Amino acid sequence: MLPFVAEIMSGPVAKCPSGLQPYRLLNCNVLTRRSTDTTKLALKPELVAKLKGIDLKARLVVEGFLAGLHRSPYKGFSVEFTEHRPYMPGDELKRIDWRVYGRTDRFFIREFEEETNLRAYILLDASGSMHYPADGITKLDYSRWLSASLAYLLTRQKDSVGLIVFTDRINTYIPPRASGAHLRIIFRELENTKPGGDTNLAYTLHQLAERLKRRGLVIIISDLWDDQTQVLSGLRHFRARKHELLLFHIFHPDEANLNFPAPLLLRDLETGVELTVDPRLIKTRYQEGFHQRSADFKKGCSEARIDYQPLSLATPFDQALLKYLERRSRLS
Amino acid sequence: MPLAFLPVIIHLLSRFRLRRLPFPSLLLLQTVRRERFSWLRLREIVLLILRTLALLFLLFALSRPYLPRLLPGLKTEDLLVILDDSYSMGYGSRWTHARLAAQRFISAAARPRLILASQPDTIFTGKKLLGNLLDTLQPTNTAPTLTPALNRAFAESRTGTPPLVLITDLQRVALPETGLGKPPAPLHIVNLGRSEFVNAGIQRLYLDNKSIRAQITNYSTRPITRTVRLQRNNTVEEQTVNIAPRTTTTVSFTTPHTDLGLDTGCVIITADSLPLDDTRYFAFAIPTKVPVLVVRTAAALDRYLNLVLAADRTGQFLPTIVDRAELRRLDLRRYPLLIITDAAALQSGDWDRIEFYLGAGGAALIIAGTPLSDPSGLNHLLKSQGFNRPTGFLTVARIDTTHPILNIFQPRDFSSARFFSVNRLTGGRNLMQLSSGDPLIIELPDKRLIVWTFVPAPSATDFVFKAPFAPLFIRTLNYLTTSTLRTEYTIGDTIILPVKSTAPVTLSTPEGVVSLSPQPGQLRPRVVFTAPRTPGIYRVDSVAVAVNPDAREGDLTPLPDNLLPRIGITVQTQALPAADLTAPLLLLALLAFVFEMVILVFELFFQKRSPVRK
Repeated sequence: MLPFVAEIMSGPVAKCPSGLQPYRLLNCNVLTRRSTDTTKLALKPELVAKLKGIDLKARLVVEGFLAGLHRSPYKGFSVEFTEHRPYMPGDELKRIDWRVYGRTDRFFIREFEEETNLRAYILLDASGSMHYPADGITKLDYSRWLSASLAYLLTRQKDSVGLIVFTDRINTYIPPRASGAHLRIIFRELENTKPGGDTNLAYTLHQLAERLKRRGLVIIISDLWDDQTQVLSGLRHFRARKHELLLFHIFHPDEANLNFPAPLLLRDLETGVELTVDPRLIKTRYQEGFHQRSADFKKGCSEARIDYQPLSLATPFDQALLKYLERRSRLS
Repeated sequence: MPLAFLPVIIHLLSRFRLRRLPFPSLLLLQTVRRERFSWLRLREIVLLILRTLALLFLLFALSRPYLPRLLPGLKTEDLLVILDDSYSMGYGSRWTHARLAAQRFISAAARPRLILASQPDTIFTGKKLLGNLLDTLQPTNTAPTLTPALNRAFAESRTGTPPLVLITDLQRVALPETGLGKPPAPLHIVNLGRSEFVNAGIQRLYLDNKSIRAQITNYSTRPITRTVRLQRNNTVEEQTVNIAPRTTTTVSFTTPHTDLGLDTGCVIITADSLPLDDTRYFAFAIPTKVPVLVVRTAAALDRYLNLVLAADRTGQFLPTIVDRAELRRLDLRRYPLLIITDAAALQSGDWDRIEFYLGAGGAALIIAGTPLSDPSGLNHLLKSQGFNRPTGFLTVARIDTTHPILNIFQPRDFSSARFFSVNRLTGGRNLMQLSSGDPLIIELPDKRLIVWTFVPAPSATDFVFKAPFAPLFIRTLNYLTTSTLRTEYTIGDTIILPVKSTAPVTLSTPEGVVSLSPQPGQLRPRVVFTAPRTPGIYRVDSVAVAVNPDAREGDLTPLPDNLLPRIGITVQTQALPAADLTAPLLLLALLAFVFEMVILVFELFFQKRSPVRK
C-alpha cells in the first residue's frame, strides 16, 4: 500500500506526504477496506468529490492509480541508467539485461532516468454546457479533476505540462513547465475555473493549433457539443502541426440515454433556447443519434490517428490515466 | 368572450408547470425532433384547439343564440320602417337582428323612411343617412309605447300609402288596446319577441321604517334566483332571493337607514339578462326635525293627529300645540308647517294671517271637515258645495297614485274606510275621491297647502282606525315640509329642483356636469332640467334626485296573438323565423370534450404500454 493511501486510512485527519496543507477526509468509512478495493474506490469520481482541494484530488487519483498498477511497466523511459530490478511478468523482453543474465542466470531489467522532453498541453473546455448536471458532480468538475490528475501525473514523470482553458475563446493559457510550483499554478487555475459562454470548439481548436508552435502531446477534455465535422477538422489541424492528440469526450449518462420519465422543457445551457420534449417518444432515436455521433468521432479520430476516449461521469479516472499512459508509452 | 381565453391561459400555465431542466446542448435533440414526427407539439395544439372550441361552444350555447333568417326585402319604391328602440330591445340579440332587418328593408326600398319609437316626431330619410344611423344606433333608455310612432306612421302613410314595416319585440306593455288607429296601408310586423325569456327587474325602491326595500319582479315563466345588492355610501349589502314565476317579491335590506337628510345609492340585481332594469337608483330625503304648529279648537279633533305624531318613529316632527286664540300672537314664519285641525273655527283675521304665511313659503294642512263658519277664507282657493252627510257612508273610489303622498298606496288600502260626512269642496288637484264624487284630499295649485275635507275623528269616519291613516298623515306632513319630496324621476321626465338663489348652478348628472340658470318659481327659484336620458343620480348642491328607466319595460311578455287583429291590425309577416342553435352548440362542445378525453385516454394507454425507467 502506498504511504499516501495508508495515511488516508489511518484517520480522519492526516498530513499530506509531500508536506502540503493538511486535509480532512470527509468519509472515512468508504476507505476502511482492503487495499485493492481502496485503490479502486480512490479512482471513483464520487469519492474524489468528497475531498477538498484539487491538489488532493489529483494526488489521490494518481497515487491510487499507480498503486493499482503495482510495479507498473510504465515506470519510466530514459537513456541514462539508474539501477537494476528483477524482471516481472509484463516487462518487455527487450529491456532484459542479458549480460547480467549471463553472469547471474537471473533476469534483471535495466531502469533509466526518466525523460523530461515531453511537452503536454491540457485543453479544458469550460463552456456552459459543461455545467451539467446542476446538482452533484458536473462535467466540468470531472474534467477539472481529470486535468489535475493528468497534470500531476505528467509532472511526477518530469514532463512539462501546460493548461489551456477555453470556451468560445481562449480564457487561460498556462505554458508547459515541469516544476512543482508550476503544478500549483495549474491547480489554482483549475480551482478557479468557472463554466460559462458558448462553445465554439472548432474555431478554438484551429486557433490553438496555430498558436502551439512546438509539437507535443495535446490532451483535449471536452463534451464536444459543436458541429462534428468542424471539430474533426480542428483536430486534424493539430495533427497537421505534428501534435499527438488525446481526446477525452466527457458526457453525463443523461446526455447519452435521455432517461427522463415525463415531458419536460429543456433549456440549452449555452444558448438559453427552450425545447419541449417528450423523452418517451424520442428516446430511442436520440440514443441512436448519440451513439452514432460518438462512433463518428471515434472513426474520424481513428482516421486521423487521434486517441478518442469517451468518458461518462460514472467512469473511474483510471481509464483516462491508462489511456494517457498508453499514448505516453507509444510516444517513447 | 374573455372566458374563451381560459384554455389558452391554462395551456400556458401547463407549459409553466412542465418540469424545466437545463440541458447541455439541444443540438442533437433538435435534429432528432426534426427527423421525427413531433407528436408532443401536435398534441399540445390539438388539445388547446379542442379545449378552446369546447369552451367557446359552451359559452355560445349558454347565450341561447339563434340563426336569423333574413326576410326578403319589400320591393317597393316607398317604405316606412318603424323601429322600436326601447330598452327591452337590448335583450339578447334582439337589437342586432332588428338592425339587420331594418338595414335589409331600407336597402331594398328606393325611398325608405324611418321612424324611431323614441322620437315619433322625426322622420329620417335618405338611404345613406339611414345606413349611417343604423350603424351607430343603440336602444335608448326610454320605454316608449309604440302608439305615438304608429300613429305618426299611419298619418304619413295616408298621403302616399307606402307599406309599413314595424320592427319590434311586440311587448304587451308597448301596445295598448286603445288609442291606436287602423293602419291605412299593409303593416308588416317583424316580431323579435319570444315567449321564452328570463328577466327580472326592480320595480320600486322605498323606505319603510328606516329600512330600504326593493320590489323585485320575475317577469318570466320559470322560477329564478338572483342576488340583489344595495350600494349606499360606502356600504354594500347583498341578499339572494328566489322569485316564483311572474311574481313580485320584496327584499328588505338590513343596513339601517338612520341618516337624516339626503341619502343616495342604488340597488342592483346581479347577473340578469336585461341590464337596464337591474339597477335602480334612489335618493331618499329625510328632513331634519321640523317644528310643526298644531292649532286646535277642540281636543277631540286633534286627538288622533297627536297620537300619530307621538307615535311617529322617525321623530322628525316637533309639534307645538296651541289654541286658535294664540294664533295671532305667534310668528308663524318660525314654523315650516302649520296644521289647522278645524278650519271652521278660524276667523277672517286668521285666514289673512294664514294666507300671508303661505305666500311667504309656509306650508299648511287644513282640516276642513265641518261646515265653515266663515267660508270667505277658503273661498278664493276652493269652492264650497255644501256639506254631505249621507244616510249610509261613503268609501274611497279613486286615489291619485302618481302623487308623491299616495304613490305607495293602492286603492284597496282604503277600501275598508268609511266616511259618514264630508265637506264638499272643489277646486285644486283632487288626490282622493269618494264614491259620491266628492274630493277627500285636495292640493291647492301653486301653494304648499293640502286640505282634508273630512274630520279625522270617529264621529265623521272610521278611517282614523285604519292602517293607512298614520302613513297618509305623516306622508302629507313630509310632502308639505320637504321642498323636494319628489326625488324619483323617470327617464324623459322634467326634473324640477328648488335652489336657494337665482344664481346659476351646476347640475351634476351621470353624463357630466351641466350649468343651469334657475327660473323664478311660485315660492322659490328652481332649476328645470328636461328629458334626462341616462339613469343615475342628478344633484344640485345638497339636493339630489334619482332618475330611473320605466320599470314596466322590463316585462318582456309578448303581446297575445289575438290582440293585433282585435285592435284592427292585420299582420302580414308575423315573426322572424329563427333556428335555435343552443342544442347543436352543446353537442359540438360535448364532441370536443369527448375527443379530448379520447386523446388523453389513448395517451395514458400508450404510457402504460411503454414504461420508462426513472
